[in-house]
Amino acid sequence: MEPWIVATSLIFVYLIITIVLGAVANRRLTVDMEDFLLYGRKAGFVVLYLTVVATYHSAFAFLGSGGYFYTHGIGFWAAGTWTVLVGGITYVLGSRIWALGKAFKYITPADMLADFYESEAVRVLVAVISVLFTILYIQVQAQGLGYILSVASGERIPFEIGTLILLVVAAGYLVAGGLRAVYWTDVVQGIWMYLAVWIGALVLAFKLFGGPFELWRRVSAERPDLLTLPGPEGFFTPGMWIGMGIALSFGIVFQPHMMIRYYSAVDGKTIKWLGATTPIYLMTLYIPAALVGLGGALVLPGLAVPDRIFPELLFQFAPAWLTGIILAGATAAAMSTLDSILHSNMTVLTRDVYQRYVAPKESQAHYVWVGRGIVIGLLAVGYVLSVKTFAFLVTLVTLSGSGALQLMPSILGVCFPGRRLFTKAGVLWGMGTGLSVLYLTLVVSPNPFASLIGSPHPLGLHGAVWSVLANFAVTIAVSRFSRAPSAETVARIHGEVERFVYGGAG
Amino acid sequence: MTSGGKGLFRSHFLPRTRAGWVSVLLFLGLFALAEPPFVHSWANRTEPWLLGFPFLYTYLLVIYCGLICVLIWALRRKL
Repeated sequence: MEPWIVATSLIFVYLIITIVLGAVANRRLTVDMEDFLLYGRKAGFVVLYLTVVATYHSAFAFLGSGGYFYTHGIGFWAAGTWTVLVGGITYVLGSRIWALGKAFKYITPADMLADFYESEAVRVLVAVISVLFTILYIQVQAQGLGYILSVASGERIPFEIGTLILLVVAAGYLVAGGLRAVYWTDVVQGIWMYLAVWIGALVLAFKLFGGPFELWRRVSAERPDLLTLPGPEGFFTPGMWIGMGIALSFGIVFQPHMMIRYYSAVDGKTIKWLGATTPIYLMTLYIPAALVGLGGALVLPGLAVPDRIFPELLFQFAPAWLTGIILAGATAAAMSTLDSILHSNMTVLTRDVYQRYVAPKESQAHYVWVGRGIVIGLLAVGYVLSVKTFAFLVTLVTLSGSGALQLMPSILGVCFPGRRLFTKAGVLWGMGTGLSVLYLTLVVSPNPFASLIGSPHPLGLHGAVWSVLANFAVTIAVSRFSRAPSAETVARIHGEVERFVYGGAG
Repeated sequence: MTSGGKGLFRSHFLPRTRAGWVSVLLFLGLFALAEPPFVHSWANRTEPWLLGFPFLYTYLLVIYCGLICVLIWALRRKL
């Protein structure tokens, strides 16, 4: 049988499995917003573990990370710092977010922030940031899916058709089963992608080099520039190392699809277990990625698109059945992120926009159906964004990784009682300033101060770090001179945090 | 509470127990070892090879594992 038939068939087998899971999840669904949007706040450790890791790792982890090792060498092992940091943040902050969500029935990040800062303006701005900076991920993942199916079929399935098929499947099981369907499919996807990337990398390492150790020795002998910092192209400078660490840990955790996962846990202990153990999965996925990227740099140098190194190696050196399984794993990586972002955007638009401002007194069933309609709308938007090119998208893609990072001061202000309080005006001005600095440092090229501080990353420090530093400075300064949340609200919300963490009244 | 409001509770930014201090300092200390300037100076080399891998790779892997161990230790101490 021809390799493309085997590879494409295995991807479709995988898709059928996800559709079946979506149908089963639909039979368990009750007509209730918390059940549809938050899995009824009953997600246990195993399900939550696999959905968190599968959601965190997207098509980028599967394809892009190999490309980074291929181009920039060992510097991408910095990924370990941000994946471990995600664990620490989940442990400390995620558990507090869970406790507040449970106590006050929060469903979205904006619910929590608007409640504490007593502000509808905060709700609207957070909802806008939540949707704007994640909707681009729909485009990125959908494009990745179309590309994978196109590659697997030897370009017999056009990119546009591949994108449409996979978007429809993801949206279909989300509409059918809500977050339960997303979580169940993520379980399969999380296991599949992990095994696929490890098996694929090891098979290639043994076949091409005689094993991983020999691969590393060959890289040392033939491309020693790949094994030290800042790498062949000087990318991994100290400023980039630190900046990417912050942007890809806090910046990802504060995105709505990750925060919603914290709300959905069955208890706080589950979140702490997640924090302590998810870095094992997240970090070790980059070990085989290093084998793929570094080995690929020796075997297939000069690729025009380095992100294609994994599929290129597979098609040239691996058996067809293995290529199919691994490309299905890449599909799983992209779909598990795509469905989560579709779900979180649907949740934000249903809860923070429709229920709040359009139709506040409808039945639970009504909101569930509206959520389903929004998913169909997002599917259409995602498809158009995937197959068309818009100039403004380039700007948003540049900003998207660091956009959610601007929620950091406001979330810390809620979850970490301190000597002083952040205020509504403080966090609004802080977020506005942070977004402006992000735009100036990453998008305006060269920035207005380039001759003094450099561009696009002033003084060699990632623009995300500058933006969040400016955000904190303005939030703190404005909060000193503006009206704080009421004592009742502070006592209620910080009191809950105090009880959860220390078990007393403080 | 009308201007520059003060918090009603003791700060959560400082640990309140000895185990809390130990875990925070261990985590931050280990994390600092995986950041510049250490990784871009002292640790930025391939020799000596450790466990079959270049020095920088194994050095970072050991620190990452150490950080995970700190988190698991904190969990077992119910922090």
